[in-house]
Amino acid sequence: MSYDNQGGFGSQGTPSNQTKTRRNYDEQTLIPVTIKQIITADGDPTGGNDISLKDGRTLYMVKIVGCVRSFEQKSTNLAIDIEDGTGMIEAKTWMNEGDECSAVANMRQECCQDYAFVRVIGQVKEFDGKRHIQATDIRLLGTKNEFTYHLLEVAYSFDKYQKRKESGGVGMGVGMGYGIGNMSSMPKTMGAKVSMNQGGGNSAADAAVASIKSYGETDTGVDIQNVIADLASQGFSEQEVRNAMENLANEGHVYSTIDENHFSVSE
Amino acid sequence: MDGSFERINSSMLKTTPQAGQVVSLVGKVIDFDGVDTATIEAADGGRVTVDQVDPGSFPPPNAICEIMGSPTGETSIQFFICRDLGEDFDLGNYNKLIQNVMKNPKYADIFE
Repeated sequence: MSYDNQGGFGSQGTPSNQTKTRRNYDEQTLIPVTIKQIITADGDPTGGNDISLKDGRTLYMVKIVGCVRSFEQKSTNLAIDIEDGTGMIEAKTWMNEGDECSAVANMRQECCQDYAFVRVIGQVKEFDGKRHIQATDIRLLGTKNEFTYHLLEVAYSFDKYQKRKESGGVGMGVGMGYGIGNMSSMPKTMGAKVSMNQGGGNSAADAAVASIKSYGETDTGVDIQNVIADLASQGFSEQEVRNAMENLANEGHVYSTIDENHFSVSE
Repeated sequence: MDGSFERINSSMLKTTPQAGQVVSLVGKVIDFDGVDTATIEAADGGRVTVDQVDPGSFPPPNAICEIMGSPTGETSIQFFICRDLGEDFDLGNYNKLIQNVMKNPKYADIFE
């Protein structure tokens, strides 16, 4: 089966792993973490730049939320020490005088006060044995509830990764876990399966796509009533079929042809 | 300070021995005598006394704040600094976070 590494952590069987300079998009993750996770992450044994969390995920970009303990503003850069209760880390951001949107500069400036609660997004870098974050975004929290939210999201993200590891293996893309159904009916619409909304409508969507394809190439597309009739025999209600078709159309996997009741599958 | 401290509510203050360590107590200001002693209602609803408060930096009653301090007894801590958390801070959520999530052993590597 020719699975792309859609939605998975595509570290298995991806030849592009050998080039450290440019990662494939699946590896360019943005993970919510605590400062402790960054500090205790494992370095790259080959001496490259890859840092991996203790749970196995490779760190690329991170999001942290914490409190400013100190800051140092120079002409070309700003360095802020941030703590979140699990550890402390320096976030450094480079400033281009005159080349920058004033709103961005203002947002950053607001963070320069002791005990401000901020969110930082950036890349983890190691220098001289010490890790810091090269920040692309530093801004105040809109509400302190975001602090609670962030820590919950850290735990949730960890759980999600563990579940995916356990069920079917990382990188296979199968771990989506909803109504995978009949594989042979969808050779090219793998993208449709992965990006579908996960409310249980997946199997309806798969079946709908299969149904449309069963009519072969048509200029006018397939009447939705035919799809509804086909799927009724598989146990789907008309509403489920209509919802599935709408989702598929929104995602771009099907498109309407002569009118809004006729559809064709996008190849 | 290395940025690592325990987040507590009133029951955790009683049960976890932390004398001499820095802890974070989040709660609502109930009372402040204007001089040096305040009462805080922690995230789990229990009351904690805060001593040696710095009157200049202390928020008004009903404000929700995070107090950094050191435990001095089962229901009291010594004040170091405080940080404002705003009026819309959800204490119920925060309580569940610190009790059920951060203390869950499977997340020990994350939160310690």
